[in-house]
Amino acid sequence: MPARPRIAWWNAGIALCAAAPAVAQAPDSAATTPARTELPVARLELDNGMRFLVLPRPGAPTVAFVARFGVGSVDDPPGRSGIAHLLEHLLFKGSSTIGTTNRAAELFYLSRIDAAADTLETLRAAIGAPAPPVPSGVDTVAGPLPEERRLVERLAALEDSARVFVAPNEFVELLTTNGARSLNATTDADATTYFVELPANRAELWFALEADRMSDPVFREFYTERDVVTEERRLRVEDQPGGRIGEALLAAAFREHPYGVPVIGRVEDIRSLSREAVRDYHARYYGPNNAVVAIVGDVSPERMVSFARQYFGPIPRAEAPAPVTAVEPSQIAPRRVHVDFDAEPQLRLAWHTVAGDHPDVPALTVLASILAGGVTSRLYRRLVLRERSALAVFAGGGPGARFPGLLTISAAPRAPHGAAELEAAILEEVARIADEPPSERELGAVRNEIAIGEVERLASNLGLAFQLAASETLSGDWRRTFHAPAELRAVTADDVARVARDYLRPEVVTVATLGRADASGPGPP
Amino acid sequence: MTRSLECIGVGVLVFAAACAAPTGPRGEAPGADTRPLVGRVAVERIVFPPLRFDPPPAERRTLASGAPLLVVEDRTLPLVEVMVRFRGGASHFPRERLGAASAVSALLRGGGTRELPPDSVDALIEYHAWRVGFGAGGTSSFARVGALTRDVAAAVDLWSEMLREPGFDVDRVEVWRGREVEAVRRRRDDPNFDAVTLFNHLLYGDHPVGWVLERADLEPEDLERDRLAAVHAAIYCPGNATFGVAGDIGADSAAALLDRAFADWPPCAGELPEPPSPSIRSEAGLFVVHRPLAQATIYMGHAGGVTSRDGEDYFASGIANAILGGSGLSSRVVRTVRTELGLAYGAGTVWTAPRRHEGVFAAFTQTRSDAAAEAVRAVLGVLEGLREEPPERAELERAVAEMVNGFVFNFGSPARVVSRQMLYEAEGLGADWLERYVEGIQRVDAADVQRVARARIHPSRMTLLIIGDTTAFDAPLRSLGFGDPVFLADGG
Repeated sequence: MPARPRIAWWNAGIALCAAAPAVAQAPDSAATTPARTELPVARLELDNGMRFLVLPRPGAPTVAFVARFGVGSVDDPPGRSGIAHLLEHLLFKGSSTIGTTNRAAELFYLSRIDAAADTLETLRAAIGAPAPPVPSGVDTVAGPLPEERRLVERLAALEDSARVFVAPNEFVELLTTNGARSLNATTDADATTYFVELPANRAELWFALEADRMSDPVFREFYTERDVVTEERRLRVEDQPGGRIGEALLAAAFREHPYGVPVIGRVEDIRSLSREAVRDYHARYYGPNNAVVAIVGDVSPERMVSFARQYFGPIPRAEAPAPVTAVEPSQIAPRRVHVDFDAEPQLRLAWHTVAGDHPDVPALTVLASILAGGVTSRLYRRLVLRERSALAVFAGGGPGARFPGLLTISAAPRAPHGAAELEAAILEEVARIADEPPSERELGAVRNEIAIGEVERLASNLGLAFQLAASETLSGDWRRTFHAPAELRAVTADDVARVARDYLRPEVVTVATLGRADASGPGPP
Repeated sequence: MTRSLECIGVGVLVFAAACAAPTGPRGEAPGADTRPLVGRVAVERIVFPPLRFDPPPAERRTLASGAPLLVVEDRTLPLVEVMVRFRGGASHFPRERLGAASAVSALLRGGGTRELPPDSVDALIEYHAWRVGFGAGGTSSFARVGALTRDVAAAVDLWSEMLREPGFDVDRVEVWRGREVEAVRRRRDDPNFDAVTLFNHLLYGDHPVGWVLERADLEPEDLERDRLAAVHAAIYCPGNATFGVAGDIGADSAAALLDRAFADWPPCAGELPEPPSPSIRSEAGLFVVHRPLAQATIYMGHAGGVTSRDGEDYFASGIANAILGGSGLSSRVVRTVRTELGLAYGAGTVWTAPRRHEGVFAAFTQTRSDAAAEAVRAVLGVLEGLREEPPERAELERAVAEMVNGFVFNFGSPARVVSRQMLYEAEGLGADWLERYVEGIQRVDAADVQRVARARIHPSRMTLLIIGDTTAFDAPLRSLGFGDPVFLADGG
């Protein structure tokens, strides 16, 4: 049976590339622990606007670095979905001095690659099909016109020529040979986050490498990496029922706001991304003024601050990125979408809620926990234990916190029960919250969970660094994440009933189902 | 390039070889140029200060029941975590007991106790937010409980009751059974999970590692109370147990806590039988599941020929695996299949070396259907490459440096130190196994790596499994050189 998940909002975001540690506003503050806002966090803001948070922590001599850029898939321009995520992949390719064996020779080929790509784009624009639908896997070798096919082949050949001067994965190897762990990055709807842990005495290496790739990246092996991302999409979305239904749900729930567009990108968009587009995107969103770094571990804040000034200080401030202006219109009727897929059935129900800084977030968080937060939650007890109509049930917020998101309930039916029966039962339990608000015992469990979670969150350098960076990025104040538990504790039964009534209305639910067309019964055993 | 090896000579660890001459980074003296140094120049001039580190010691006690206890005290946070590891899992029982042997750990958590119905146990655990978990692998079973220091005695009391006196509530047994039947039905929904299950079965056949829990193992009579109780009694007794405690408590207090919670724990009734040794398939064969997916999921492998007792070969196989596909982007399979060819997001190799018998060597990837044959050939080419030529010195050094320089991460949390020491104790590896391991891999040279690759990796004797859309593959299956394809039923 599942352990009771941490009390956290915004935990259902689609994070690519890595299993990110719990990032969300997790719980806080038992009587036995000091107020966490008193943690000795040193905060530095450089003249160029880049912010650093340093928290020394006892333990083994290691240090965690989290660099969070305020750019996620919501910032992808129309027709260029997936660009934030592809850029994240490409930032592991190095810089003009790291990742190459001969900068001048490589540059020669890179400029030819750009010219060929430009010609291809012009041609495709002329024939009115930016990325003609071609069967999977032939995107780098085929196109409907001979001229187009020739250009695609030319691009691949040029990239092979440039590869001769590439030191593959040198950026990564510099870190791993120095003992790095957890080296990865994740792109979600709101942000792109790069992280690594190093032995504490090698901390300076991070500053040198991160400042270098942030200010002087080279997007080498571009078209090959684009193919890698296409494979990632096949792996995570196209062949995965969970990926399929997730995309369908967001697309149905968000018609205007980019939360409805997949983080990894639409396949035809990925195929049309160019090196030039990624360079522009990087210039716009990767300025120091759009970055927050959190450093947690066995380090001296003075040394870290001094390295921050030395390595990141010279990077010029960039123009402030354009805000996302799309606003999702109010949903006025239920929506329903079905994904016909050769898999056992799945069900998701979602309601529009609020952004992460809204005062209703604590009550919504407690609501999700009361509904499906563990084996004593209302939905688990009814669907899994009593009626035995579900294999499992979950609830959480997402896909981000910068803009109003969703509260989503996911469940997998247990044959011979079907998705329709589950859906009815879930809607009934949601309605019941208003009539039978959570008991003192239900709320007590949530509060005790908050108490232990508040201590546990302090046990991991990387987890703490994620929380500090996210809090600073989303609210402009790293302390915010440590205030959340007090707000959660203050939630009353009436608050929970009210948000259930206000947000989880049956007339504005979005329902996604997945299964075989003849999903009347179970598939073959 | 900063390829210095960390001198891990502090505290209990002494590695003469590594510490003798830490080759410092080749720093360049900063010149008169006052522009800030960036990129490679900046990286190369960094000089790392020495790492000072005293690994926290694990204290050992023997509990009144005779079971060993390992404790790492850490007063940083008001948290205590208690763990136990039992010798015994599904591998110690015959095939017809697979249902019961798979059920017991989940039912210790969910089935209540002799005194308390399941709902009460659930309510206690979730009300107090205690972290309680039970699990099992093939040859061992685990349990843990975590709580704030102020709560820990009550949490351990309940946990001990769950471990020793399970209720096996009939309703909860039926819930578990129904969910497992559903999980079996859903196995094919995840192509990779499906492939791993099938691949193990192809390699290990009718050996516990190759057993697949099927619908037929999940009839109500497979989970009758007597069967569950028999599995429970054979595993969960003091003679099989190794305890561990990490966090805000001293060793003596931890021992007293457990002695009280586990008072009058009857000894094991008998010894568990040794699990059978496997006979792992090592002949060419091609097995295919046709399913119209976007990607082909590819696994290939054979018997690994190495155990963790094999000394030199064991260490060499660890380095060979890191070079081939065991250490992410730096390894050859990933560099070839992903970075250079753009054929896959994920790829890699595994080389398992259990203590008592050999394991497997295997390589895997997932690629678009019309590149399936190209990906298979690319992976085979990488494997052949290490057989034909020893690795370059720099590549070998990178693989070793990754492990040596990251050594401190083995001590990242007290619970991590304790659970590792519990494993060493239970497997009879010796408390200093980690240190001997890190020492051992530093003795491996390029010739050793090539020798172990030549002796143990045989592309021509591999079992190849592909799940995917065979109608879209880029070459006839027969052309892959694994013989005629054997088509397996989809979902069967």
